[in-house]
Amino acid sequence: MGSTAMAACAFENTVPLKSLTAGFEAWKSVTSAMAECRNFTPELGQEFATKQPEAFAANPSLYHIGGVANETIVPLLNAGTIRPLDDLVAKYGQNLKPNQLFKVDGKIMAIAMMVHTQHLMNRKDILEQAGVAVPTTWDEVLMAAEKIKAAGLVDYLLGATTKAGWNFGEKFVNMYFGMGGALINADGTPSVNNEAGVKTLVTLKALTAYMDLEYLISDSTYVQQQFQQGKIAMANLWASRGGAMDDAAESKVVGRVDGGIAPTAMAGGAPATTLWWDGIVIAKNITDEEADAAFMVAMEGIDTEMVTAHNDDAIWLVEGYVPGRLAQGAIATASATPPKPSYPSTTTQGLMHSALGDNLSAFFTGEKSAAGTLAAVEAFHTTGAKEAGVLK
Amino acid sequence: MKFRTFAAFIAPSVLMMMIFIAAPLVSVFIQSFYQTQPIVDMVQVETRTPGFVTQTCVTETKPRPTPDDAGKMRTETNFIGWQRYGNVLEPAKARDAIRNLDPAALLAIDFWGALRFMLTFTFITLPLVIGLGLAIAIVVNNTARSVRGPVIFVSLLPFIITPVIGALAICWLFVGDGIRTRAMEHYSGTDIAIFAQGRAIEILMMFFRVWHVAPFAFVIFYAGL
Repeated sequence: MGSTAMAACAFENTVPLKSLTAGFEAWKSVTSAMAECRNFTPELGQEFATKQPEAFAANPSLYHIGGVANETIVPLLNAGTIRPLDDLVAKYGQNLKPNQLFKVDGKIMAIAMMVHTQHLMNRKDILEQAGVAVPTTWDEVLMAAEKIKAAGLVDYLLGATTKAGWNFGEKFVNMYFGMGGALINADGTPSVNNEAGVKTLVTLKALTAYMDLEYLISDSTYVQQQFQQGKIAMANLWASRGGAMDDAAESKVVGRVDGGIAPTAMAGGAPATTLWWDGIVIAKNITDEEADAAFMVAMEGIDTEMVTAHNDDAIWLVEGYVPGRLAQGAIATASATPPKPSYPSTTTQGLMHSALGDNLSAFFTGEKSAAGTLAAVEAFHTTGAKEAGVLK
Repeated sequence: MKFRTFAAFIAPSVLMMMIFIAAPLVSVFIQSFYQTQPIVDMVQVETRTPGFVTQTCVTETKPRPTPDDAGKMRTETNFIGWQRYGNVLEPAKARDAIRNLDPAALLAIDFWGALRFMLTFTFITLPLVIGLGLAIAIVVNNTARSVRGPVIFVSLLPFIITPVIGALAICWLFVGDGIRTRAMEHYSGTDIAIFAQGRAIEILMMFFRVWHVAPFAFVIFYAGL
């Protein structure tokens, strides 16, 4: 704490503060920058989403600062356990850019520090050898895979985060939005058993023909390792995994993986992926004095100094970020027109995602037809929505 | 032993079981007939989500729990009868499936599929565990005294290994690029993907269960020999 190598915090924090965030690299950088202000105890871990709703609902709240993303802010928003940040931003948020603010009904509820998305990572050397251009649509991906397969250059053409459960749900949501589908009707009923849904399933099935047969256990780490071991040529993977490709200690393909834009599903459509943001929220059940201090510390954590020191940890939204080679694909995806959708921050989306995650694998193991699978997803969602009280 | 002494001995244990097992069971059973939900209104909300270049603005109708005057979330509790059980068992679909003699349709319902797995798992692993345990006990009983100690130690090892470590070992051995899988692929010349097949994973689980618990059966039988 307070090392002289990195410029110290702009002020000395005297209020004991605690934070609860996820544990990936970007959060480690941010919380260590916050810790330089003293009197700050960060807690990081992948169980943060389970702990946060109850911890923040306690009075006084168990944590002052929370690290959230599109999906994990929803329980806190619904329970009303985080405070609006408008006056704090007016007082201390001069260095914030307007696109960092997450607003609900005109009130700022969170400050985003980075964006996150799945985009097409590819082995540019293999694509060059096979004489294929980097694909920009999913149809082109299939054609490229066929050509590379014919050339016999790599074990499996494609990797994908299709682990049964949340990962597969995310894959479906991305592709489905890319097909122009809407998951939930205006009245809250599910809408997935339709033409766009069937097309999504059929496209995904076509892609699995080029994957390792065990794709239903393939999560982000699995795909990352497949890339690092040189087993796959292309995969739609989370941007944050890009750094690991150039990690000489683990990767056999240092410098050979490139980031391409996420492919589109429809001609002229948006990239078939969703935009995620990660950022901080301030608890409501704390004193105003603590909230002030917490916000100031949080601003220190996501300032330009931190970004300059940890530039390649994430696609930062903060001033001073210089995109590296591996970030280009994610940025191209984030700035494409038409723009891709942000992952919706609603309870119904969470329920639909669970319904998808639990039921999609039946289609891929051949147990159910496409229509049957999607009907099961809708039934599952309806039951869940009724139990949660969002559907009468 | 006089009954009063016996009762005094088991009273603390029985009391603990009543408080921590029996009472919660009854309470949960009663609670299963009720449902507590937050009271939500469908409201039109405008959300501005952070993006790399600019924010994305969306106006949508979403359900939002509305707080009461004190700022707390309101919930309502309704009596729903057997609805929860109906949701899980899906009696109408199950009855149709049985009437049409369609096992696939019945097993497509989560509960019945899980029941099928549980029954297959139990009725296959249990006899194997007991049989294997007895076999090991007899073998050890007939072993020369000098080697008996080490033989018992080796036989007990599978039971001592923490299930988490055991499961991880099975994963590393049999996953697509696992050690055993590579060996099998080498000898057979074909690509093997055990984890791609549901049935193969079930067999692996049953194998692990028998391997893990047979030593315990062995210990019990050996004590009796």
